[in-house]
Amino acid sequence: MKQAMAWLALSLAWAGLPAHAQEARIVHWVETAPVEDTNSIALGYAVPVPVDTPLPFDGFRSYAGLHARHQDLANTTPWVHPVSVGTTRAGRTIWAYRMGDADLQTRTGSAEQAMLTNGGIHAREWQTPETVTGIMELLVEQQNDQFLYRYLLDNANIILIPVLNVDGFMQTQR
Amino acid sequence: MPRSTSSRLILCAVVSVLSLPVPAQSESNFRRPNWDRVLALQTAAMGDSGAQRDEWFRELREGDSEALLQSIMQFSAAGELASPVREQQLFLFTVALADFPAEQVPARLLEFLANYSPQTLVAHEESENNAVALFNIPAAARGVQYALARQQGEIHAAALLAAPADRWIDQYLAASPAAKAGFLDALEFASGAEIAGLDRKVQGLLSDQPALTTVAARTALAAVDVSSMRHVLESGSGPAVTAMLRAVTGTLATHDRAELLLASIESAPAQNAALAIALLSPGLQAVPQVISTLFDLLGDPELGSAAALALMGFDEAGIRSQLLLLSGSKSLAATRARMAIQLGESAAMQGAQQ
Repeated sequence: MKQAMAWLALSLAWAGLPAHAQEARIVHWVETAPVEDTNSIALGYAVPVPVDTPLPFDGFRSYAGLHARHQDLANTTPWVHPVSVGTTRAGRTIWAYRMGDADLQTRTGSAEQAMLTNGGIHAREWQTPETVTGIMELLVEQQNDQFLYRYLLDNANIILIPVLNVDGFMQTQR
Repeated sequence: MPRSTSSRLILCAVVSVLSLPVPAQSESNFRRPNWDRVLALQTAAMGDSGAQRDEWFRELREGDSEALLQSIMQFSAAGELASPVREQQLFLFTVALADFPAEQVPARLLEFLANYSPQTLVAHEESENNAVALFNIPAAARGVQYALARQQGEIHAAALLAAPADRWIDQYLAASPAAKAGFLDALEFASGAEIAGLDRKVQGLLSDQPALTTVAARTALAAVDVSSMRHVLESGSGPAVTAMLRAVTGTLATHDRAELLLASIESAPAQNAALAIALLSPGLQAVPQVISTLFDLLGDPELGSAAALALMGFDEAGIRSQLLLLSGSKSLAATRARMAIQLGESAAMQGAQQ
């Protein structure tokens, strides 16, 4: 009896959903598809598949690859300082990285200005975590340029959040 | 007139021009939906007998390109038909052109369709104020242009396979992106000898011509030649390297995969070696030389994090305890071992939570 009531409740709930919710369907990204195939989105190029590699390449790194890269730069250089800035709904840590020297003062003794760049707000836009990670890599690579990058590292706090929406990003990378 | 006065007058004129109100162009360019999606589809379905398309297909087969173009131009401007009826006919006809031999489809016809401005505009599914074309005829026409150029490239490249490999390669490099894709399609039909000849030639040129990476990767895979694959990893670049490594997983035996991985670690640029570690090492945990090499790599400035990620991915008790043992010291390798352990722990914790 209880089961029947549960089914009835579910059916009523389903019937009460707006039409567009009932029509929601899973569509797949594919390279090519016949025009009548409404369950696929043909991209016209090979579907990007993320790779678990920490180094940049002609493609997208997975979250594991990006996170390993961030943590490795934090562990092996004096310029990257990781901070947990929150937890996602699924319990994952949201990481921010403060780029700069250890102190919070400019060379002349005043307080350093801060700037924030975050990526990975929209789950399906995989390029922004790469871009923010690219900024981190650039600052580390150019640490000894004796010009702009070194000036920024010495005199500013550059806060980078490569992936803000960690759950969404990982959901689309499955 | 003194120079300072004339400069001031010029400056004044420039400021005056800049301060004039800008015509509201954006408003005229912004198109709003003019049809309800469901109603437009119903209207299109009711008015579509298919007879008009059959007539166009007949003219196309008979090669009467001028009559066909005139007929389509007149039809697209026929005011007595509702726009969904007209545009569905044009759209279905345009899409079907991709199945015709390239030489049978007049370029002028495709150009006309590619420049057609759709009139049936419906609300975007996720943003009701934004209009989208219900029948995107220009996009379909561009797609057909690409498909036909690719088809022509494939036919041309298949014929060239019998010629010296130099000619095939030169013409590949000079081809358009669509035709290049056709050249690669043609490799599916090449004989073993043709693939081997092309592979030898292209591998020899790869160091100086990275644009040949896609061809080199395809011929290496088709020939199942590990030394050619190694050469692609050493000298190639771009997405084709990743595609080759993915394909290798299904085609090479374990010992060949291990050999390719170890060779790439030894001699490929860091970016390609890291890709090889990520894509070839899964499934190689039973090969002792692979495991010991990955552990040795932990102290490598460039590849250490890739090795840590791969070791973490094995999820083996023996490997975990070896990482733990290593993590006690202050070396770079120990830092990477600690990172691998932490990444593994946080992945396991998240897995348990879901």
